[in-house]
Amino acid sequence: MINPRRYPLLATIAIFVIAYAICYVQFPYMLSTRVAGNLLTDNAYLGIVAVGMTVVILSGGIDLSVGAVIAFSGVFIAVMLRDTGLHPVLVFALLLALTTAFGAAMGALIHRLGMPPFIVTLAGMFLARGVAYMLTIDSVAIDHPFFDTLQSTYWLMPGKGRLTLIGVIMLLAFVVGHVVAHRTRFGANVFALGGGQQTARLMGSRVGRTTVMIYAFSGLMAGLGGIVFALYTGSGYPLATVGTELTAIATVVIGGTLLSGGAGYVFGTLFGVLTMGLIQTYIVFDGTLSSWWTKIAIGVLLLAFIVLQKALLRLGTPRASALG
Amino acid sequence: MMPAGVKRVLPQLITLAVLVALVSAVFPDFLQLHYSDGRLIGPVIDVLKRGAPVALLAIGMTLVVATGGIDLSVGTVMAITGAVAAAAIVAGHGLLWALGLALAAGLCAGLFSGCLIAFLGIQPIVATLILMISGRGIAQLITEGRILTFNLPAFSFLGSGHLLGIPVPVWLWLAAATLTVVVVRRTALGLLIEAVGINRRASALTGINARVILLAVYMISGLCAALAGIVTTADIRGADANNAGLWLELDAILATVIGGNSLLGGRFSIPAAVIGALIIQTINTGILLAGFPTEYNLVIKAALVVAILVLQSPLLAGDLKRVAARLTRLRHPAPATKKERASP
Amino acid sequence: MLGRELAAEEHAARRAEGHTEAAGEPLLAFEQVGRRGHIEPFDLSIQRGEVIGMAGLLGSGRTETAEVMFGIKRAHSGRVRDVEGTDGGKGADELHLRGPRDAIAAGFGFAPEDRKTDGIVAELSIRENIILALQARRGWMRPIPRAEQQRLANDYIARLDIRTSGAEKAIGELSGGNQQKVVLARWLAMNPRFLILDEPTRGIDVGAHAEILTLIRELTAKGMAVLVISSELDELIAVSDRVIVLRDRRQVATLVGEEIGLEPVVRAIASADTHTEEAPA
Repeated sequence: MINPRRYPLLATIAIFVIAYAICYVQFPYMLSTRVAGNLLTDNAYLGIVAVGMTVVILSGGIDLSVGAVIAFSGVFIAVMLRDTGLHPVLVFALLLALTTAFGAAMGALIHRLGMPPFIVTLAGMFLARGVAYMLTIDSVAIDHPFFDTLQSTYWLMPGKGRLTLIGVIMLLAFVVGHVVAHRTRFGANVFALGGGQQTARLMGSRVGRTTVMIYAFSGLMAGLGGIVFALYTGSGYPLATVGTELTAIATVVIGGTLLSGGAGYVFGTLFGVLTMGLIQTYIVFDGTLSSWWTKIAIGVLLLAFIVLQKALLRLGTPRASALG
Repeated sequence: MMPAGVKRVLPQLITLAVLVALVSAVFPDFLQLHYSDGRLIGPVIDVLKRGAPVALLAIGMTLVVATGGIDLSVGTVMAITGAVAAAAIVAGHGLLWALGLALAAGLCAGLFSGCLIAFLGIQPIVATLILMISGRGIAQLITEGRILTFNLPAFSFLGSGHLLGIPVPVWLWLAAATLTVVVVRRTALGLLIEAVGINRRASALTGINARVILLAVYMISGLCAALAGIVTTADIRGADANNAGLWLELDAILATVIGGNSLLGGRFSIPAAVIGALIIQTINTGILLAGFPTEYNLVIKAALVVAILVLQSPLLAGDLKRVAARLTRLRHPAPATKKERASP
Repeated sequence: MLGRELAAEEHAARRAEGHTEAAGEPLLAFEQVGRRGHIEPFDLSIQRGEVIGMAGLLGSGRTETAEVMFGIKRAHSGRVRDVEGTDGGKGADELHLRGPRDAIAAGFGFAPEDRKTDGIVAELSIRENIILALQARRGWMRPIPRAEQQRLANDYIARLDIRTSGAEKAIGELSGGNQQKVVLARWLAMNPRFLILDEPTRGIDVGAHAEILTLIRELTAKGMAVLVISSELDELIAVSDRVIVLRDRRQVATLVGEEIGLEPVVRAIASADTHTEEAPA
């Protein structure tokens, strides 16, 4: 007997496998490690921010700032490498400290002022993108030998597929996210917060500390996502990744995490990300479909998945009420 | 009735006044108005006109937020309705068809989200996210990825025309806000929306049809988005599926919150939300007029928004009261201690 | 204890009063109504002017019964007949309770157990809370005129002695007892035929207890039928014409007239398996 709480996760995996099978039937080449490698590489930054977003959503919150933080990160790296003699590793460390502190500050505001996360992180989104604009309004190319080395690092998989460094970083981010959310005391607090049990299990200052840590973690992941995006594109651009926060939320929901918080799996989000990437890959392979079909397909998938999730949950808990 | 109504929007009016004063300090001509060619011209008129889309969206958003919901789809619905109107005009149907189809599209969008929320119990943020993402694809499908331009003066009038010297979009949001306020306050709709937003379960137990109320607010929101889409499309004489209404849902939500409406639902004020929209537009226009480099816009906007929200935060108000109380106690320690001793 | 004294007094008063002319006429009949996992099918006929008390331990199915009766949870079996005004129940209309709105349309009222989450709409004023059900029945298109709202609110504030500085105060700021009175006022404004009160005296001060019991007696004197669920057995005994005892989601006893007393009720609630009396058909 499978735990009903796992139904959404299993459904996500099943949908991904079925979708991949359909793709394979039409385009056998899609099963190659090359396509699989690209799937990981192309969606690496999205996957990393989605890890942070999963933790935020598990706690019942939301973080709208991540897309802007990615853009800021790219610009920050590009400008620092251009204007200072700092080594990229130092720049990365600085950046991660900055975005983590930024997330922590948003968490503190949310807790201290009792303001909804939606609004606080919306202001954070304006701020992060605004600062990116202040650094530069143009796209800045990144040119640094060490950076180039990172960009071209990959491991060859059987079948000549490339497992790039950023793809590996994404997978590692999911492992870390999984451990943080499901294996630590902090993770337990996150679930407690999302499940609305704060009065029972979390008292006073621990709610505040957990909230700060949640958004700090999301900030950290957004910063890491920014580094990966910079490696992926080789440049920093303040207008990049607009709306990524919403895509990330969608992947989390497709990944089987309840948006109300308190239930979900970090690894579900990985499959959410891969499913979305798969749709894009399919549309590229098909070649005749216009790009807008991607959006419609993602919307339909989101709808189908949420309806499925509702149905599964209703099966799990047979409760009907006539109350609207 | 008036004093209570004014009292409710007082914080927003003060905020607006302070902002206008700030902008005027840097750009003294901000309040200048002159009349030429049968129209009023000046930065203030510009704010009123450019604020129209967000003001229109904020009307519907306020009702949605009052039920404890949120509508992320309105920006996309603007793109869809604009595309529908433009496509209808390009296909040779007249003004009435264009308007009718666009409004119907807005209603359908609201009905779709409303059904997901009221009947399937999907959270508003996810339900409207579905339409937000796929809707832009639908709009692009209608325009086939191009910017659909048209030439129909009667339609363009809605976006760039003037009536009694005032731009038509201003009349439109004024009329829409007034009509909505009259409808929700002169009927029991406003009370029922607030009841559902505060306590849906208790409301349902008193016999309120919460599902119908939810459907209604999302359909009104869709209708407001359609109007905003029509205004935007008419103004630029074309439908741009990629950019029409892009991120305006966030501004509309911000306007609603600046208007003192709680995202948790409950008591609402449409006039305050509309003033919130004007506050946002004043910030946008003010930053430009004040001559700041455009790259500073977002940072200044973020700072102002945070400042406004922090000042309005109920928790902060509590803190301030406590601080004030402590200060008074420090200043007049003797009577306070006596009182404390006196009371058991 | 006050409750005990109250019980004796109340009981005597009820017996002395006898029944009003309307009392005893059949009103409703629940026949084999049940819901899997919530409440075993039960029979219950309700007469005008009668107070039915429902006793049982926590989890014995009292609230579930009330919820099925008010249509909050749909019954899986049985039927509800509207017997009033028909010739001895022949050709009576069957009521289909698909939700609270159906129950309200049939003249039911329900003051839920959890006042904070299910009863009051905390941020609305006393006036708005009182007129809410009435307004819901009229529909949003026909608002109750403000003057009429104020009249109703002031009327009930005076009649039920709701202690407040005014009708515009948010109900959430009132004490538990006064909140309960507002919830009662909401239903009294509807003039229901059958009122279900789930733990009407829980969490309210002793003075308000007595007032609510007196109110129940007044209502039944006018012909309203009231179902009271209460863990306060003294009160339940004091106010009820008939006491139904639930155990393990099943009706296990019905006590009428002289049988109503603390000891028989407690025995019925607690007895392991031997039914004091079979539930009547």
